[in-house]
Amino acid sequence: MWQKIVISMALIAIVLSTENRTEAQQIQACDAICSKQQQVDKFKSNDQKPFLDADLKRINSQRLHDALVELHLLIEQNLSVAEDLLSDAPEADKKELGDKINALQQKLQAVEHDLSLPGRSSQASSPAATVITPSATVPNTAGTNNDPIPASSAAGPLIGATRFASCSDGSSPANTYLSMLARGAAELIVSRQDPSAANDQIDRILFAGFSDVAVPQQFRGNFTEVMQKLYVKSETRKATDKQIGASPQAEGSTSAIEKPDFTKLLGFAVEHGAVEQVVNGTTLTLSSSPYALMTAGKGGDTAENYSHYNAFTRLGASATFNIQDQNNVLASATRKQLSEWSVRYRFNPDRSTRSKDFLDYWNSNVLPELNNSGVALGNALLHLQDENSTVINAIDQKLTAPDGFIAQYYSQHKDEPQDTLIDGLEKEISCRVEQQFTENMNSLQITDATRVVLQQDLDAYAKAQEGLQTAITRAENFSKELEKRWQGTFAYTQKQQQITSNYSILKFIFEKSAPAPLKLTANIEGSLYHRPDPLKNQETLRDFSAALSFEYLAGRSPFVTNPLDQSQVSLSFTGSYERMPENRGVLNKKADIGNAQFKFQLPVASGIVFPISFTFANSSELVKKNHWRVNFGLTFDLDKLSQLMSVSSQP
Amino acid sequence: MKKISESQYQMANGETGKLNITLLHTSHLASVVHNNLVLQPDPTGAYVFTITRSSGKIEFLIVTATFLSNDPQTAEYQLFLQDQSGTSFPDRVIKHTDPPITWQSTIRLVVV
Repeated sequence: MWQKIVISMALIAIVLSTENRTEAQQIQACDAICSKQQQVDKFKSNDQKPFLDADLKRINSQRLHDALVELHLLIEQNLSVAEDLLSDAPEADKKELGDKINALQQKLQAVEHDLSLPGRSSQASSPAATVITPSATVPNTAGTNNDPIPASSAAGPLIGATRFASCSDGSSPANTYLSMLARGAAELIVSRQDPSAANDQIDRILFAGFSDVAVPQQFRGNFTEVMQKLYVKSETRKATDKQIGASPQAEGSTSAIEKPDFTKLLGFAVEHGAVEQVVNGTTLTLSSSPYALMTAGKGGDTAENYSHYNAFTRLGASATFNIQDQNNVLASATRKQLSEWSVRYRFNPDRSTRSKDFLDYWNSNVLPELNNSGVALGNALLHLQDENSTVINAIDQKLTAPDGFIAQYYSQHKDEPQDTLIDGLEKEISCRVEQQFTENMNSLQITDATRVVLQQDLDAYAKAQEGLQTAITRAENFSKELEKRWQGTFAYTQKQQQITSNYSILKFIFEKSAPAPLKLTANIEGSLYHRPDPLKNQETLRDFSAALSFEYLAGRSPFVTNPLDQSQVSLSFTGSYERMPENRGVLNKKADIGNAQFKFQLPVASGIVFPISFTFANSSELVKKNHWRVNFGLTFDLDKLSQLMSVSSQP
Repeated sequence: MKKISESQYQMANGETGKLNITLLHTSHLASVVHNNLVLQPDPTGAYVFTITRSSGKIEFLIVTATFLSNDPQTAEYQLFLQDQSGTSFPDRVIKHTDPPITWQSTIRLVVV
């Protein structure tokens, strides 16, 4: 009895283990071709579902196409190994190998049919056998139907210009490297109003188009993502460290403290109020730098001039005038109306991206990455030329010739609204590139070796671009670090007084970034009478004072419409103390004067800022009386304004 | 050297050319690659290259420029090609306001 039970269990175990082994073998056999075939079958099944919406159908078609490409590759690789083994196989294996080869050839034919390719056997005389259709999302006939044609249902090879009669009316896959480049080219053409403006982009566009044809999408995914991250638009300077308005001693000043930097070209401020004066006034302040004069007739503010005349950027000058005629403020810029003039010397080194520190950093860290990117692209383009120059150059010509696709499209649609024209051009370029590669499929050399090289080129280019992105990000951070370093300026100001004696102010101005987004500014000054009047209790030393300010950057101004202008709204709190010895013991005057100011600066357009401040003082210089003041104005920074004008004057 | 069209020039095998880049409102250098060789500026700041491929082939000059946040919107790189006789051909101007993806520029040199 026990013997029977043991034998039965052993038999069951043998049967089970045999079944398991068979299943394991099947799974192993299904690892590559079989599982890919199952994937293809699943996508084909989805493709037949009538309820599928257009977007899902398009995505499914793309996946189906890619799966078919990969299946094709797998079968070819297996077939190649099987044929190789057959030549010197022992008799016992020959039949099995022969059956395997037949089965693989049948599968290959089926896949080639699905991909609408000329059969492998028909290309026996051509070594460039493996050609693949670019995408399942090819526009339909004459643009009357924009639905994509699923690869599996395409009736024959996608060849023939008539299928693309209205190329740009069709849909092109979005967010591919090709579409990104086509978009950039379209924007360039429209901004320059010149259909040949993007001719220098066409080789990269053809590289992208050829990659789309020859490399399955899943291998291009990372590449496209890298490229998308790289080309995020840059932003402009955020700094708020320029003194454009009058000094605190001027009648119309809105500032209780001065900033260390100054305009290099021209600054212009109209302010109303008073901080340290007893009488409200309205002033006009003009400021500039000798650098603007030195470079005026020599090409202006070029990099070469900046490097050559860099020393002059350390010097600044300004003049403040009391405004009589508020309808014509510039008419007040006369010597008679001069309220104060000032010269400044910045004693910290240049902190901008034009500085030697930054250029050294750039040349050591960023330039090598830029070079890597150029070399990677150069290699890719040379490989394309080595293998497929005839087709590539013919397509280039068709796109860029004076009567080529781009010029024709531009000529026919140039009167359309700009956005419509850019969209249309982008689609036209993408579509024509796909169309041209498809039409010339049989002339292209896309061997396995070509594909491998192209894959390597794409990887190398993506890595180079990624390295470049990292280097640029680090350079931006280094630039921010430079801006955070201390700034120091010495200012000499001469006050022209109508009632009291003229005097000079010697001032040291420091600024240092506190933990972001705070900034700390300090002023220390002393002023001297030119001709002290003993009858007015005056000595040579008129006063000394100190001021400290915390500034908070609240973010980009909502009123600045230029998306590239990052001008910041700022809030600042300033406290200052002034000691005036001449007021000691004088009736109705106070020797120790304190101010507390809250200031709000709102950029209302590029280069134009509306400052408003609220100041409490325990006394003015002339009258002992607590008071509140509200000061406001408008400042114009021509450094920024000239940039804006230059951009808007571009064709 | 003969300019065929925008960013496309004819040159002979062995012929030497120069690429001059004028920087406007920016200081950091662009990168210049001839085919797959990085070019360094000579003492005058020009990038010198020599055509090495045979007739019918194409060589490439690749200029990669970059602008930073602090560069003004007026910043630009003006490209000029110059032949052995000194004749200068203005080529593309890469502007800060151009789409960043187009800051990499490819000049075709068709070997005749």
